[in-house]
Amino acid sequence: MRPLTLAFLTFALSLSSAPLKLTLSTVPGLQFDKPRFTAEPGQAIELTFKNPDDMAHNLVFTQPGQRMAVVQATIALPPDPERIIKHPAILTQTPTLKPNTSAVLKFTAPKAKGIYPYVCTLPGHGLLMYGAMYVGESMPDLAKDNHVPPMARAKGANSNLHAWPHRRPLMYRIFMPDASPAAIAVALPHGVSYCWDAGNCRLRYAWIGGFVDPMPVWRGNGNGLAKIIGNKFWTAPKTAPIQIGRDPQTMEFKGYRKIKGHPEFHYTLNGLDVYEHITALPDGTGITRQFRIPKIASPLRVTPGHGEIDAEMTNGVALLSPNQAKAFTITHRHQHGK
Amino acid sequence: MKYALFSIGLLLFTGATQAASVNDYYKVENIAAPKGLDPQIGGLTILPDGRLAACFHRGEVYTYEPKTKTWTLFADGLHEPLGIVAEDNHTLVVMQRPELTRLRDTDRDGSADHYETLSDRFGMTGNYHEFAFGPTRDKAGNYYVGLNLASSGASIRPEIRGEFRHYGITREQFYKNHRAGSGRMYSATPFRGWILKIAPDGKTTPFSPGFRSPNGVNFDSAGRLWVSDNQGDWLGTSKLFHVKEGNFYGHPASLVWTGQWEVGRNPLKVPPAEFDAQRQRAAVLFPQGSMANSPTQMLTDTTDGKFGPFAGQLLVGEMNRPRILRVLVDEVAGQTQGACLPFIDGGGLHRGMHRFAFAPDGSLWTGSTHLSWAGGSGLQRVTWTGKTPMELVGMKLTKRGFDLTFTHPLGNVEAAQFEFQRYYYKYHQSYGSPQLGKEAIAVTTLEMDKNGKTVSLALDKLNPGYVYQLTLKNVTAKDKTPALNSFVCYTLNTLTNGDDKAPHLIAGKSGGGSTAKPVKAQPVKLTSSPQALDAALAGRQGPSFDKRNGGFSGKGYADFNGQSGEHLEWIVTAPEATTYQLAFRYALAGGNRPLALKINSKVIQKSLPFNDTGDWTSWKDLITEAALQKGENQIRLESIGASGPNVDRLTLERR
Repeated sequence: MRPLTLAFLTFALSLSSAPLKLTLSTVPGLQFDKPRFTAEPGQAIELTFKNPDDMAHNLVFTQPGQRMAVVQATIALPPDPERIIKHPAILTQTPTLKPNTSAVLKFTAPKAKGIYPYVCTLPGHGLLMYGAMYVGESMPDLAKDNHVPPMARAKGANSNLHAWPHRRPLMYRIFMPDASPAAIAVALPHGVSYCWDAGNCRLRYAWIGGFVDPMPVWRGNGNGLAKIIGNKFWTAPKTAPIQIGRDPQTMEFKGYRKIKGHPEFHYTLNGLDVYEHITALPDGTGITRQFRIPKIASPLRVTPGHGEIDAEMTNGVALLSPNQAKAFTITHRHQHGK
Repeated sequence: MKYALFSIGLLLFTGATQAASVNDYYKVENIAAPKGLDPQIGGLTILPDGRLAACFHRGEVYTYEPKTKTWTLFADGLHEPLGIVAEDNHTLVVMQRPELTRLRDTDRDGSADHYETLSDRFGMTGNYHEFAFGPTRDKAGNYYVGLNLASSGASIRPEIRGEFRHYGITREQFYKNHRAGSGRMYSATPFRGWILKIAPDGKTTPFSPGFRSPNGVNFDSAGRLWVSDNQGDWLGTSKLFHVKEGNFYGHPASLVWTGQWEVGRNPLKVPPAEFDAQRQRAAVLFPQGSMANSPTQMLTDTTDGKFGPFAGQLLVGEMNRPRILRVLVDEVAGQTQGACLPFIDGGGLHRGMHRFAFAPDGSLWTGSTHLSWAGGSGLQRVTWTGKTPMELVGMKLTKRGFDLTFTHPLGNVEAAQFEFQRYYYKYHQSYGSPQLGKEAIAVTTLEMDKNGKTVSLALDKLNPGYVYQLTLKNVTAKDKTPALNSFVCYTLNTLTNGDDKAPHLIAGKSGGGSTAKPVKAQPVKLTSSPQALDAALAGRQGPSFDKRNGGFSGKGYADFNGQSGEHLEWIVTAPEATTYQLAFRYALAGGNRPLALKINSKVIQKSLPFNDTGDWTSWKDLITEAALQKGENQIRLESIGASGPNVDRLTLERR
């Protein structure tokens, strides 16, 4: 009785399905605004693809399960932004869109039910910037959907973790991998996150994608570690980023103040107050660490460690004058950001 | 036979018609938490303006305005906050796993913008069991927090905060097999197992060691610091301690951070008698299984009667049952001990009664948690109906037994309605202890006072070191109202004459303590200053009396035999309370053999340094100072693991 009813319902729906009109936009931080949408088998689709981001993107639909195959195949191709890719697993695609341009893609949804990925195939983007077109299939809970990027999944999951809607910045003091037990995890806008360690007063690493799954810590008695969702793009070297006075440096964590939800960490190094305020780059390609050392009176050695600093570097070290050291910035970008 | 059955039936029936329900006296109301919040409550406090502040499992701090039933997010992102105290309407101090933090709403928008680290000057290994409890605040504004030991259920993280030290085991060995040497609960980094004192400016002082899982850290309205601890290794059952600076409370793992502990010495290989000689017994024991399995916060009833007839008494939470307990404190011979009994049992209460705060109207806020163990979650409000239950409000030790005071005049009662049992819990390394030496204790006489509320009972046996468990059998008020709670446990540490000797608490063979018969002290009146007291006048448990090595004064000297748990004790009567110089004349051929000095059962010096004198016939004085009280004083030297020197005499001189 039941299968018959269902079959009838499906038939009725496909008969009545009008062309599907939708808009898909890029979002800074290698994301699409919609991590997934549904279409009926054989339905006509008119998709407006907008790229308000400050870097180029494209949109490629593939056969079920073929996203990574297509992404891998494009890595070897010479850079040619205007080019259309030829690959047997590609259903349809837009050309590469420059920032602030758009295109309309008209196509027919496949007759075969399935979950059809869409992805930006520009170098490095395909690992994070993708979504899923559900054709004649029902969607699982977003938090459990393995066809959407981890960040979208985390949005689905995080919506249930607190009494407030999903938001960034968001900060947890929680057990983190590769840090002391006094770790702090912070989610910034544009899909960038970092781990700052109050146990040794320094930034440990940064990643792009989702934030963390805190449930391994929260679910049980606290024996687990939070799980990073996304890909690390920067890890601190062993050398401390700044050195004041003699080694060993005595460190003391003093807390933080929140500026528009972003913590500005306060600590002392050999008794001198240091402030560190970390924000996402506006295009989501990395993080900026704004340091303040108001009372510094001697030159400062800074080791940005795969970071950019507006000062002359010798063997990876910048020597700042006391005046420069009062306020300076280190930027860490992920490699595909430029 | 038939007749007997009938009468039991009748009894049950009459009991049922008059049964007191806790809800006749106290109403329990559930308070809805914000939707989406995991409402496990780590801490509760009242702000000066009457709002409630609560911290939660996932790191949120909310304020709650009961008038409008509005929750406002005050702070978030904290790491397992388990206690909160308000400094003012805009400033809260929270204990979270890594630190004590002051949350300040400097722009007065209702949420904190400044998270100030007051103190993180203690270690963390990342072991899940290293919970951090408190804070409570003294009148000077100092905070006190409790740091849990780590559990052998897990190891430590690759990166830790603070020094690693573990009984001589290297960190590499520890990672390979942490269970091999850790003991059930361990303190691998400072100051796990301690209560810390943190001044308002963050200055941090280790206050007292010996704890396992000190969930409740609270001052009462009399200024006493109470700490509750949980049944486990070294804790035969859950306990409530009256805590003073410098004292040791029984779990030895934390002793490695005393500064006196020999690095590499393994506390698990030290005879329990050595620790027993140093430890302070709990003021109140909560029998496991019947009274409480995991005691939590203590809170004095400061409502002046708005919450019922228990003003000034101490309330204690319990995790495993829907229960709040009461503690009846009894000061006996200068020692704090007392009784515990269920107070609100069921009646709609959640399990996991973790934190409490009195609202200005005298109602009680309760917060529950579980942290994946037994417990519950959510906020409740308990209100007194105004009706006074038939309840025990006082239990005081007397020379012969106990005086019991009730809220209402008693109906006719006889001795058999007060059913006493006693038992003790062994102090040992194993997890928990069975109830040992269990026996029924007869009530020999019963006397009622004039107002009919206090009954004086004399007991057949009254000895220190036992829980006296009392079950009230159909005890009712004059108007036949039955007692709401009929199960009470009194922890007898000290008799009214100050006797607190309880050698049965230690494992039978305890580090070689001598089996020689104890010798009683000959009490001495202090009539001159200085006045010399020969070793022959001292009472002895363990040391023998000898005269083989020459050079001694008087009749001879006392010779310690076993490593631990032996003592030598002079009993002196002082004409007035004042400070004395104490000079112990002793001989020791080699090494160091420190002894603990106790006066009137109180540890004066944990480790008096008896260093070598070069020969058994070379006698020297070790000089220290101590206050004696007016009247009788017991001055005791106890062995603490290193045997002891030959002790010739004690000379007392008024300062």
